[in-house]
Amino acid sequence: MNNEGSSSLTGQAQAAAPDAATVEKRVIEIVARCLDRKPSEVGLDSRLWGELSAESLDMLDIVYSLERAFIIRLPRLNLLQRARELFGEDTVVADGVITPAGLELMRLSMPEIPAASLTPNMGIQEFRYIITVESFVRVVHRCLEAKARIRCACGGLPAPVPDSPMELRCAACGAPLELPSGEQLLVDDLVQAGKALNLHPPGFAETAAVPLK
Amino acid sequence: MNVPTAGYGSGAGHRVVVTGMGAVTSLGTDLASTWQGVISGASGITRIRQYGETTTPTHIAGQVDLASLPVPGACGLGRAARFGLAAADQAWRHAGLERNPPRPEVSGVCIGASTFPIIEDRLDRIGALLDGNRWNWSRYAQLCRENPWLLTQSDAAGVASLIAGRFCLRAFSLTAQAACTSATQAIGHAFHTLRAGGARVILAGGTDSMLSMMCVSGFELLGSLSQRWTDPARASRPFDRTRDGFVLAEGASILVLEEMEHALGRGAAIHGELIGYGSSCDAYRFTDMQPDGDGAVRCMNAALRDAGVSPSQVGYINAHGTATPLNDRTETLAIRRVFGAHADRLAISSTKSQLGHLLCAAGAIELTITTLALKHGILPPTINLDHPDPECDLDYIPWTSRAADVSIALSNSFGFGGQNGCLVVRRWDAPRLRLPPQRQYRSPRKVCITGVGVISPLGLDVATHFARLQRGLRAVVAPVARGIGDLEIPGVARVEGFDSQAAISSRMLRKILTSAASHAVAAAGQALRSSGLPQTALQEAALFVGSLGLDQDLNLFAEALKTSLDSNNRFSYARFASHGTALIDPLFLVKSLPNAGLCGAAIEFDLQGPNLNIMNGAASGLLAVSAAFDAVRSGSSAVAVAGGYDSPLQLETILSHLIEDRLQSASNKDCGYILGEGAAFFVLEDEAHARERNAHVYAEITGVAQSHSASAGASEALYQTASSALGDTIPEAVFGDGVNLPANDAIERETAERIRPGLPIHACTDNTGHCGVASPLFSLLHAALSAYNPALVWTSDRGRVHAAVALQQPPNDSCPG
Repeated sequence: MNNEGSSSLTGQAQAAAPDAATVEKRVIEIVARCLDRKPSEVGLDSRLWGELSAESLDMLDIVYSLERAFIIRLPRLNLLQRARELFGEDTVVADGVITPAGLELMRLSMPEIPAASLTPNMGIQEFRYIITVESFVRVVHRCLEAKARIRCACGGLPAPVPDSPMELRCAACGAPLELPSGEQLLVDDLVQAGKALNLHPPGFAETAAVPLK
Repeated sequence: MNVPTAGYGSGAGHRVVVTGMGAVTSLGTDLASTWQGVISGASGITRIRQYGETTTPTHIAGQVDLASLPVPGACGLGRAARFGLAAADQAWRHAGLERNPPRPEVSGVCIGASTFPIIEDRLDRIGALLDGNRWNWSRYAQLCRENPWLLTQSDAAGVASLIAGRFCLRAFSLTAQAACTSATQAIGHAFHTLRAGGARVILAGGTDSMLSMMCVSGFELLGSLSQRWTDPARASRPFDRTRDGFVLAEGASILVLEEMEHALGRGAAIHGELIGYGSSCDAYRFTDMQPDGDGAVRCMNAALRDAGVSPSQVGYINAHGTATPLNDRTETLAIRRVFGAHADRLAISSTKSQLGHLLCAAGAIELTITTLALKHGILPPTINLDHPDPECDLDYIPWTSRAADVSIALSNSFGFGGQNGCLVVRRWDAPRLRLPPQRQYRSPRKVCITGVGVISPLGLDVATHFARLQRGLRAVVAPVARGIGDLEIPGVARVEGFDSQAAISSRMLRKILTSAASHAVAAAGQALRSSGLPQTALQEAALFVGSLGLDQDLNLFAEALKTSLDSNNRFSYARFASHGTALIDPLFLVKSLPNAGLCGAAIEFDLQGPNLNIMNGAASGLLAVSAAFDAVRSGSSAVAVAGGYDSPLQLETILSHLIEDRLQSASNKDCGYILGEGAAFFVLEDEAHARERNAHVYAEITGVAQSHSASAGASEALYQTASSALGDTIPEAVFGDGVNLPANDAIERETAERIRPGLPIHACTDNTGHCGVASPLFSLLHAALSAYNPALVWTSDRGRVHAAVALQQPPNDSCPG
């Protein structure tokens, strides 16, 4: 099978992201299937940990299933971990507790979470318990919007590639097109939210992988 | 050639010493260079390059320099086998055994090892091997016919058997598989066997190399690995606040464990004394430790009790210390819970900071390092520990090794699936503390079977299975599944109608267990229920499981590999990294864990006690029953759950039977067998304990035995093994393999005739299909429910591993059927 060239491309060129209701319904179905529940037992405001009894392996399963279903790349780290790396440890977390600035950052970044859930002196271990199904819906939307904006340098729209479900190519010229990185979108949004709070990443490009000695 | 029954009561309380050690690691291909590297704080971690410069650059690991590893006769062997043989060879010479070899019949091998097909070795043909998103079975078979060594990668018993063959170790050859606890389990089991008088010398340790593309991808997809690949030497950061996962590594370490009088008798140099071993099951989750460290606490406490030492006598712990956020925090908490205030006086280090995580060999290299640390009075450091973590607040010996006079140390291992192990070692020339008190050896217990359970192609419960077996029914040979149909075999015998929703209550288990492991959990559940034991007794029960070698559905990778083909239909690492990995189920590694049956049963039924998972080919189930017998007979467990499961119905497994011409073919149904699947479990119980609670007794087990041989010596080995299990008794019938192959059948017939002319042999392979590990257990079930008194069950797996169990009917027989 030849993956090269526009001649082998099949399927519709993609532009508009699916509408909100469709995404919500699909996310709920996937979360329900991964947790072996009926979709009617899962609501947008259901919390994954605790309320729906998700475990870490379920989260991997859910992320993988959402990526496959929507053809997107979701972030792997949770928001709090990424924020700690981005803005420095003491800014976001101190002594295992989320700082007031950290809470404000989370509130701005996760508008779907009820304000009452972000309680002062919340421990980092408690953070995951506030994540809802709607949090996934938001991130899926974010990735879909970014995907919908993809255009080839030639102006062509992205199209799927046979035998390679997670790959996109230009429908017009066949050039490879990258799926937007959910990880990068998360970082962009965090930096944006940080600006609003006057928080700035101290040269975050090097924090992830550089010796800290 | 046979092991005397290893009851603690019979040869009570031998002391066990370390007389030789070998190591093959990323820091050096021998003991001295590895030790020097570890104590000097060097790092062995680099970018993975062994499969070519194009390998995904984000992958880092501790890799062995194979070029500097002389292994005579290693042609065609995989990396783990070479490491294992080289480490065994070093240990053998280190112990001075090449001049003065031990008697074969009192010598064995017991190692931790893994199996995984190395996709890289199939990549040059990958375009032709895939039809769409599925494997083309006939082309795959052709590839393996031309390169039979490919299938050795899935041979669970292979490396141990090679070592046994090379050093002429005939008492037994055992492979333990408990994920990251494998080597610790192997060494612990070897230690208990020696202490009980079941052998005099055992080569014990582990070897592993899981650095091929799919293995690394599997750990990466689980989010277990450090992402600091731009700076490999600093990536493994146990107990540091900025730790972000472990770093994979390969290598081996083998120790010569020797009964002390034997060692002293031959004037061997002694490097340390092994004085305790404890194991436990978290019975919690597959990849998360219990947050309160409960499983780790129980295994450390069990090890200290086993050694007869108090926590305050311990000076050093070689921690599991993987550098995942959860492990290090939980291990710290567990150490605090076990040692109380003394925890602050303990020195602790994780040598995974230098070496990475050797997985199935980790417990071996870490015990070797711990033994050397005590001997030389130098405690190895934890490198890369720069940022103290408030949740990891013990003394981890940051960066620089430390001179210290320590007498007793622990080595911890905690594995995926929740199996925990802890070994206790004592410096040989340590001033005598109050001598570890000799265990209270009681007289040997009678061991009976009080619970049975089975899932087989004949039926989903004992009554159905046994009734159909007695009527001589054969399992339906199903029209073969897509793909298998391309092979020239008439079909396979599947377990039909199994409802995991009804059989397994845990949602997570239903999600991640393969059908084979689900059968194990269901069969174990039947056995537990039929025993009528209360939950309190089950919680402390020992658990011994024989598992299939490979539980890997290669179809899970087909789509990703297909996507990774470039325009010339050749595999491209770049395409795999950018488009392939995203198509792989991130849970595949968890789903394929060879200890999933044991851990699944532990989680489903809250079994927290000592445990051992044996992955040693088709004899594994009977070997598990033997180990359970020893545990109950010695009085160390009043109740032990033992069994095994298998599903040989997977691509490479079927091919390994096919290529050896063992399967019936569509054209020749008179020779060989069809493959089947299933599980069987038993509850073994101290007879006094069973009588006290008025339990139904199915049968009494009167003896067990095992051995290893070259295939040329299979006949004599099977006879010796059978005789040893029987003792003075003469059986009325044998329940054997009956694989319908002339050479194997002849060995069984000759051996039966030697035991007693006219001795009948029963086998259920013709009824159930050859169900791998499960088949000898079906034989045991058949024998236990039959009226033959006494009866003998045996298996002889490919002429290498032999196991036998002797049974008697209970005096007031009230057996069903």
